[in-house]
Amino acid sequence: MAGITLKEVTKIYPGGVRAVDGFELEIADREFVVLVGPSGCGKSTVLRMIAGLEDITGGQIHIGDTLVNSMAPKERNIAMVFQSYALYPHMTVYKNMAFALKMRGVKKAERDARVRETAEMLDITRLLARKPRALSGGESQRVALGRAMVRHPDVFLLDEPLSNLDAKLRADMRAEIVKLHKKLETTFIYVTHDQTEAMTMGDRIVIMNAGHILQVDSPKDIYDYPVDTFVAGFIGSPRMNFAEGVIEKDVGGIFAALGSNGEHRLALEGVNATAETLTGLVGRRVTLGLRPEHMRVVSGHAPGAGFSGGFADIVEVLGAETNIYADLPGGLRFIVREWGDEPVRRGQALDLAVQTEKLHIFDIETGAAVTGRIGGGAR
Amino acid sequence: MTRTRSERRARGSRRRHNVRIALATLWCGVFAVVFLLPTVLTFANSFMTETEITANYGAVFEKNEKGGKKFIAEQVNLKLIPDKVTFSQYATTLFKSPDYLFKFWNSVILVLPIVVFQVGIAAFAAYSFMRTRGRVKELLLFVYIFVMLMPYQVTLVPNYMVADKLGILGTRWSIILPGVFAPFSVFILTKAMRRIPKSLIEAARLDGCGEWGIFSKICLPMSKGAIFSVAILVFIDYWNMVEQVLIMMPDADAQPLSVFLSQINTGEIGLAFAVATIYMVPAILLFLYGEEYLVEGITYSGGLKG
Repeated sequence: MAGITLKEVTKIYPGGVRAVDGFELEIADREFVVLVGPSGCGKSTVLRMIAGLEDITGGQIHIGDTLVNSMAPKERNIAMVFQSYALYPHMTVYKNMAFALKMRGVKKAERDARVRETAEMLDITRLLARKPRALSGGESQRVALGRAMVRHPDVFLLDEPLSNLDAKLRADMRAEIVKLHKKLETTFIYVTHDQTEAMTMGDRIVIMNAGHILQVDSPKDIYDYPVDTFVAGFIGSPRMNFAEGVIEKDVGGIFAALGSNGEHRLALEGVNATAETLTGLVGRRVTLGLRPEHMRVVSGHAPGAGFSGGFADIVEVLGAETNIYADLPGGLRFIVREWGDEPVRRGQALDLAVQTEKLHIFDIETGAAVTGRIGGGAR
Repeated sequence: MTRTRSERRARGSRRRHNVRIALATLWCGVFAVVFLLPTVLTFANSFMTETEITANYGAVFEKNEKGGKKFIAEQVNLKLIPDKVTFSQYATTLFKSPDYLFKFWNSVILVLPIVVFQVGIAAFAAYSFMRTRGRVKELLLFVYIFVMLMPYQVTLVPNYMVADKLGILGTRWSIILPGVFAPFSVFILTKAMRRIPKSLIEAARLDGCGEWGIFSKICLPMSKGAIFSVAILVFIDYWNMVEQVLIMMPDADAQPLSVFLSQINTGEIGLAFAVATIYMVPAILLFLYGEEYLVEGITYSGGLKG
């Protein structure tokens, strides 16, 4: 077991493509860290560099106290679960699991004991004599995990291991991997592009885009305090609503005017920003962000506490919850999440009440969050 | 009961499908007969007496007064069942004439090293083509394919000259050495190995394999089909070689069975059928054993999806 430190790690591919740029991250021993981001953001490259499957162009990678930059993958004592599972098709499940131990010269009796113990733990003992082609997706996934576990590695690297499974199995395996992490007490680094996996599995989430880290935080803090519009839009489903507006001040206080002609006025009372910060924004255009669950469908609301005159364009009934696509005067369109069964019908007129304390304000040019943890600020 | 329009259409489509299948079967059957007939005749004739064979075929032509050909037989009697079954040809071939076994051994000691070393060397080369890519490697592979497209006759003269320079002309090495380095096997094995997912190679690296481990424990077993198919194709190719031997190794004592067979055909016709039948056995057995692999190999060489 070991922590991992990445210092200024950079990967430039031949042809000058900068896949990872100045990546700095410290992962504690036994921590479960999820790297998440859109396709091509460099998250798998980071994982492969930790594994030693990819040379690094610059920077340092430490596993524990050891600098592993020039170490071969087999010397790093890490195990990796691949997206395609990468089970050797010509070997049985037993041989697949025992292979790494055999290559490391572990004695036959110990090999056998470790394979059987791991198989028992993952409930795959009955599969030991089968070849990978005779396994279902879920079974292959378990075997791939077993093959990694049997080695007792210092670090587990998981590269989108659930992406080939159907939705139900994925949800089951998500919970199993989390349980496994608790049981094994080993460092896990998990790569995914699925924000649900990131939110439900990791102790910390690393959000990446274009080879850079945008935010490293706990799932809850990333959700509540996104550092910019990219993170805010990436985490959360349905995604955060964005609207441009101008911050204004009158006798009633500071508010945001939204819509093409400033039709809607939202009082910025209780937002996560200091009075000085808000005052500094007066007269400036900003991007406002509102999560779907921070608005409610109402008929009428207090002045400055919501939007009026809209109608429900699309209503998606999902059972426990309903997503309402509301069209509002001034060219605004918001998704609202309501609990319960069809609170509003398609085409029905509606007003929206807003929890203004949950409002996010972003710089319109840089996209950086202006609101955040008061005191700590957005990281 | 009246049939609906869609039922009638489905019935018509089924009938057309059946007719197509029947025509395709007939077409394939005709070809199968055409291709199999010589083999079946050879086998049948190997159990006939010399007299019966001569009566069936006789001399179709004889010399006319001016030294040209004169047609004398009305037809050749393609008989499949002997009047009297005899094993005398086989007895002569296997027990009375040492020539046959001697030539058989010559074939074995020429063909086996070629198959073993050609497949071995090709596997190493293919692994190299698979593991490292780059402009130089791709150019080299292109040259391999280009050379593969050349018929053997084109490279025969350069091979002869090289063998002469090396001083191996007239020895078995003049056949074995050019046979060991063959672009065809490299090409097929490269295609087979390039189909191995990269993630498997990476998993092997993480599991503790070096290059030799990846080659021997992952790539070789996973290319088993292609390796078998290459081995079978190479075996059949060299088991049947004639021109190379006649040019490179004129010493009759060292020549293989393939050359002996072409010579015996001109003399004892009855014996020729028995020798030809026995001669076919190793190739047929090998084919039957590795038929599946052979198809796999052809799939690789044709670039079809498996």
